[in-house]
Amino acid sequence: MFKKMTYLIAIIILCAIVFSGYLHEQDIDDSAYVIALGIDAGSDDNSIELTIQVAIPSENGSSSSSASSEESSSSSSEKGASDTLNQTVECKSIDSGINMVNNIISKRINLSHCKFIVFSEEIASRGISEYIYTLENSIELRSNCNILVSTDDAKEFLKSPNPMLENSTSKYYEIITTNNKYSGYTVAATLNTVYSSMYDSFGEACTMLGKIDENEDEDKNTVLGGVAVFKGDKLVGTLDVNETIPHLIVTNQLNTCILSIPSPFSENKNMDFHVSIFSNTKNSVSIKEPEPHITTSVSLVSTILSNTSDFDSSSQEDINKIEQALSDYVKNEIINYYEKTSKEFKADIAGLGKNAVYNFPTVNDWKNYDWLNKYENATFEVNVDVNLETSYFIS
Amino acid sequence: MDSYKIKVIEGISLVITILLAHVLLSVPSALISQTASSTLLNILYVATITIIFFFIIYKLFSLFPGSNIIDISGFLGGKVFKFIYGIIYIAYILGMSAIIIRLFSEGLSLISFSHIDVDFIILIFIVAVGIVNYFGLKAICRLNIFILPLMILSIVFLYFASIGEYSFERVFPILGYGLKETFVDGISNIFAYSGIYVLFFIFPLLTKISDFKKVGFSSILIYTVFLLLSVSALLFSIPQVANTTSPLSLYILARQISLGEYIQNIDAFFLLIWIPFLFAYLSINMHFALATFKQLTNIKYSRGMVFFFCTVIFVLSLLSKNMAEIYMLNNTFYKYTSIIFIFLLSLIILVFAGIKKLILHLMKKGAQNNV
Repeated sequence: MFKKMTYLIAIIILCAIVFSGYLHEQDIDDSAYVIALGIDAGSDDNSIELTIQVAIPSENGSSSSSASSEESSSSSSEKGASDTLNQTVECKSIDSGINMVNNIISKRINLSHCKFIVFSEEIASRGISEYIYTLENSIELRSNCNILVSTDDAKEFLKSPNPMLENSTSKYYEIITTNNKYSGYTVAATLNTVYSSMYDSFGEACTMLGKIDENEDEDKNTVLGGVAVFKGDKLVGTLDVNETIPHLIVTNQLNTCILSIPSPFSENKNMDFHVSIFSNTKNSVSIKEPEPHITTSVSLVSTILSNTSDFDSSSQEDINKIEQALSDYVKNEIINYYEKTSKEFKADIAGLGKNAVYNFPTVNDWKNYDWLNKYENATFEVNVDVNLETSYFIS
Repeated sequence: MDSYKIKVIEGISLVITILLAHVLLSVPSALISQTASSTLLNILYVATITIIFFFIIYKLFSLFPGSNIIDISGFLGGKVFKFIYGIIYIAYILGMSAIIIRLFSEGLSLISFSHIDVDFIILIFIVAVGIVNYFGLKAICRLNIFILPLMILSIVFLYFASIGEYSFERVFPILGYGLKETFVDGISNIFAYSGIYVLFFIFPLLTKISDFKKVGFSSILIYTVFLLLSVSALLFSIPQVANTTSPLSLYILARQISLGEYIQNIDAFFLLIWIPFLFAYLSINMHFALATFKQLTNIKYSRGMVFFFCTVIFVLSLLSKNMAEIYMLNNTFYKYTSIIFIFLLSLIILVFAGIKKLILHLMKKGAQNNV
């Protein structure tokens, strides 16, 4: 009996291996690995221009740092940076576009290494929920893939990466998204976070903002900075790099940044500070009045970076003066940020609804309150506490 | 089948396996879509009801030492009732297994085996289940003891590895759609505990009668903890509107886990655990279907029926044309049949059998007094 069973199991295993494997063999050479997707508006409202940036394996990781942008034989196929190929097609949807590119490049498009999805401003203004939903449902695509809105065409944006200190475009994409950890100039926006905030009732979505930077020699490069603000699934405005820092402070995402404020000791001079969050920012929402009242308490720790001879770093009076100036500056920036997002954009990208939902016992009460539309009438109170640490070696 | 007596730990693992298999699939999504942000509260509520339910059936089972639910139905309604009830039980087990295997195979096909036909995936499951059942209950218990800890570890790991994605505020509004929806309509979420049907069968298989109480309470409490972990992980990390239908609820969590820059896309690792876990689940179901069949027909060698039952599950699982039909079956057949069959009908049978036994006992006592 045992022998019979052993033979039976062996036959089943053999069949499973023989019939399931080789008929559908997939070699790594059969796939083209996408590192970025770009989505632009098409020639009509119902179509899009999909740009697929594919890594060229043979050149990937090579020591060559040349970044020529040369046209290939296909009119819509262009070499981006030295190690990538950009293929653009006009199509009705992302999936049909990918299929068209499959056909053109004779390899199967694989999205499992895609680092960036770039939407042009125009397509983002039309609404991106259907694309986000499609991409979120893609098994290959990682949920930590970065989402970006480009002020220029996504197609041009993907042609422009010109990594000066990095050979691989793929690696460059990984590095530039981590810049905000020390610059505070943009937000971390992944497919997962954008999808969640787009479908949540607590707030609105926001993504990274990018543009093409052209220098005097007409060399182009991509720059990330600022925030693209969405209301529902539509782009309603942007925040610049300075307005991004208050957003990061309010949402507890700020790691470190450098702030430059007018010196409280002499006119026409600035003081630089290295700023980070000391204890988590506390937001609370009161709904006692007809309009919500939002209170934000910020606690920052900073070190002075710029030396001036105008003040005495050992004087408590001077330190207090600097703390007050920095505190007033940050408070003013946060209030401006709140005013802009509420009155101008009408979009709670800080997700302050999370602090309001406690007040409602049922989903219907919460829906009836209609937080996302109430936010535009909200009033704000901001308290900023700054702990200053001097950082001079020599005073 | 065999006269193998199971230990307490084996009994607990059998019950938890049956319960947890549904958590792996669509139960968390179904619970959240029913009660929204109050799902955690609702789970505590239905868990309490289930514990009370088990306490009642434990007391009633104690009146019938060495009997399972089929024996008790025979005592209550005679051979014909026993046969009908047994056949319905077998149909329920096989139907439920067919839905689960199809749902899981569709999920696998979607995730990793897009180039393999679903029926081929189901076939591999069925053959493996047939082989395990050929070796009997002892082999099933051993397989289960081995695979269940891995499954539990995978849930705990998923919960903690997803913490970065959590918005704990999603537990608010605390009452979800309302008090009535949470505590009156929400009672239908008790279907998440329908796997306790195994308890109705393992009573005579345990070495001691007192073990039944330990197995029942322990398995319900342990399962509640893991159900809470799974549902809270899903509730905290995904907007409620997205928690509607998904063939593999836990896979949604597994997909978003990344441990730093270098360890990403570890979802395939979870499939390595979940596939054998589903083998264990199907094997247990198949065993109890076979045991019931043997009990009804008194056939000597029920092993011959193993592959017949496997074929039935295979055919049933392929009856649905598409995912919409499977979801419909899962949300109606599994949910409402489980509530009616496992919780209501079983309780009615046990209560009436208990009353009958009491009356017979009193009559016997009266007759003895008269003598």
